[in-house]
Amino acid sequence: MHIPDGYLAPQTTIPVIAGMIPVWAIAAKKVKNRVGEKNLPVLSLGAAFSFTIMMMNVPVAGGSSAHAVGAVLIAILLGPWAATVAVSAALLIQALVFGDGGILAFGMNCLNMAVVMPFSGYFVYKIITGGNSPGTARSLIGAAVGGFAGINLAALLAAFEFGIQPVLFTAADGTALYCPYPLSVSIPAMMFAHLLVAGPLEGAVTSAAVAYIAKAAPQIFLENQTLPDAPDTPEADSKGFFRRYRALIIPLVILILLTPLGLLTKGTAWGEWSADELRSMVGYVPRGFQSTADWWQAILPDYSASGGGSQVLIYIISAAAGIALIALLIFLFSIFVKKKGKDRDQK
Amino acid sequence: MTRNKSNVSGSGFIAGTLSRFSRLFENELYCERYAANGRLLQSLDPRFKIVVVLAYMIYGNFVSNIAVLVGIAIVAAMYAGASGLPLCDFIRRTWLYLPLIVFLFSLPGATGFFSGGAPVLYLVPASAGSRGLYFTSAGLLMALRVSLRTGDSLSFAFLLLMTTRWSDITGALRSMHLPEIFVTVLNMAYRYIFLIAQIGTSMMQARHIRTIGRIRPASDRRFVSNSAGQLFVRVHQMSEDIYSAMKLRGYDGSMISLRAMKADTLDWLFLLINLVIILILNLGGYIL
Repeated sequence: MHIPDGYLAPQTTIPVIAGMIPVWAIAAKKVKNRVGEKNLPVLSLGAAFSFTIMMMNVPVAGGSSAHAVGAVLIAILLGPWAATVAVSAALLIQALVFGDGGILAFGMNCLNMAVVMPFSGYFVYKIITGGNSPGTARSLIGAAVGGFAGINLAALLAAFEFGIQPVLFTAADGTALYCPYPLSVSIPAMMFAHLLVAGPLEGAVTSAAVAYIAKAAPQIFLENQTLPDAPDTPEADSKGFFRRYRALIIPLVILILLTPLGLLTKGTAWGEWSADELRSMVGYVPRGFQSTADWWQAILPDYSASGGGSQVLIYIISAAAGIALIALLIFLFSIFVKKKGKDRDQK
Repeated sequence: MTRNKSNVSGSGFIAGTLSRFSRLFENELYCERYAANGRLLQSLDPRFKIVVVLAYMIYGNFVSNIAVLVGIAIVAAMYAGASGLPLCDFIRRTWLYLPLIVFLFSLPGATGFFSGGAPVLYLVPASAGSRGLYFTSAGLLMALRVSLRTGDSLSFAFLLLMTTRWSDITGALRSMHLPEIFVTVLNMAYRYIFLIAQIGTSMMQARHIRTIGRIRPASDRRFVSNSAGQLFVRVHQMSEDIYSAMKLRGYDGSMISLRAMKADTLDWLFLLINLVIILILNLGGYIL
């Protein structure tokens, strides 16, 4: 369920990252108040635990194995907001260390596995468990059903995220620019695997782990602890949300405002418009753009020629020239950095 | 999410888990080895590196031109080479697994069922009353594009991790206004992942060397669930000791970074050069 970069259009991933910012901010605040400073190491180790759980293979039928996510388990142990923080941190480390899940798709992965999964799973767990304490038969059933429901809802959301891509982003010939599978394919494909394999597995692991912890160390459950209220930090008090995060919010808002441009350019990659396309989009062709286009025509006169062989050759020469230019830039910069480094060492 | 392994002695899933744990340690060894070698990317301010890496990822996800996507991959490889990372290893770790899997998963979408255009390769020949099953050129290009985007993103993420210490990455994120609680959690989690993975490795190895014959999957599942539970109990005990140790050393809930980040000419030049490279790539996309 870790969505890599490439399958989802940035027009969908960037707004979701922006939408996740207030969720993370609320989670951070709630966790500080509810979990408290004393339990910050618990939260951090919860993130490390979540990371480790996702690395542990569990045998399923037919000699194959799969891994659990553990988000509902962490929600039951530390509360759903803490699970949001812990699983988000685990997903970021996974994306960077293993490449499991993309960086631009990080917001989507967090929405699915760090928000929808722990909250829905925890909600189901609470409804079934009622007032019973962890470790009772009802709580174990609640944990199993919660784990099953949480991962399946997250999978359904992921399937929806995949399925809307070919509806929204297609080239002029109708080919998908990102994930090619529509909702009619993505939902059955994802749900078949999750309802039959990943869901029961997540439920079984969640329930068995809750049973073990309830027996071995029942004091760990957050609901069994009494915590002092953590004092708010001066930073949180003195500045408003926008002032604190403006350096993050402003570039994101700019990006979000730019993303719909991608929707306007059906058939052409973003930023690769021809002069005619640009004219049809904005009504005129900027003078600088036109002169650059003319410049390319001037140095590559055969570019528009219909001759197949010469055009291929021009393509190859252009690509080689571009790559050589980039290589030269990086090489010169690397020499400059080396020289600067030596000067710094001598000082 | 699933992986086929032999279930003889019920050890397939253990081997899978142990292999993941060993990859984690391998990554850390790599990072330790290359992040401080003082070459190109290692000498730069992590904040600028994060901005540039994100710029390539965003740009790569917006463009559809295959040549530009290949160009981005070449830029990442050039940076890897200039930063002293072994190129073969870089390519093996970034291009030989996930992008290939993504390409294979995209292949059904490259058939005539999902993608229009002329057939280029018939899997089932057309016959009377049936169009047959075939790949279209547009479909294959789509699969290639999706996997190239995945590989490009992965390359830059790997480049960042291999040339920057984890504490510098999180320090940069903090200076970019990521809430302190996340930065603290990321720092502590990353540090203890290795300890927890070591405990997990010992558990799995203990089970592996004591396993004879075939064990029922249900029993194996119980073992993994109990291991997860036991791991959490141990982690929790550890966290209380950690909190006491932190308090004794003056922890007051706020994080102090020992490294002051200061941008110099090199960092701005790095930003400018990458802007120029992206412009060159974009012009290339216009031509090719």
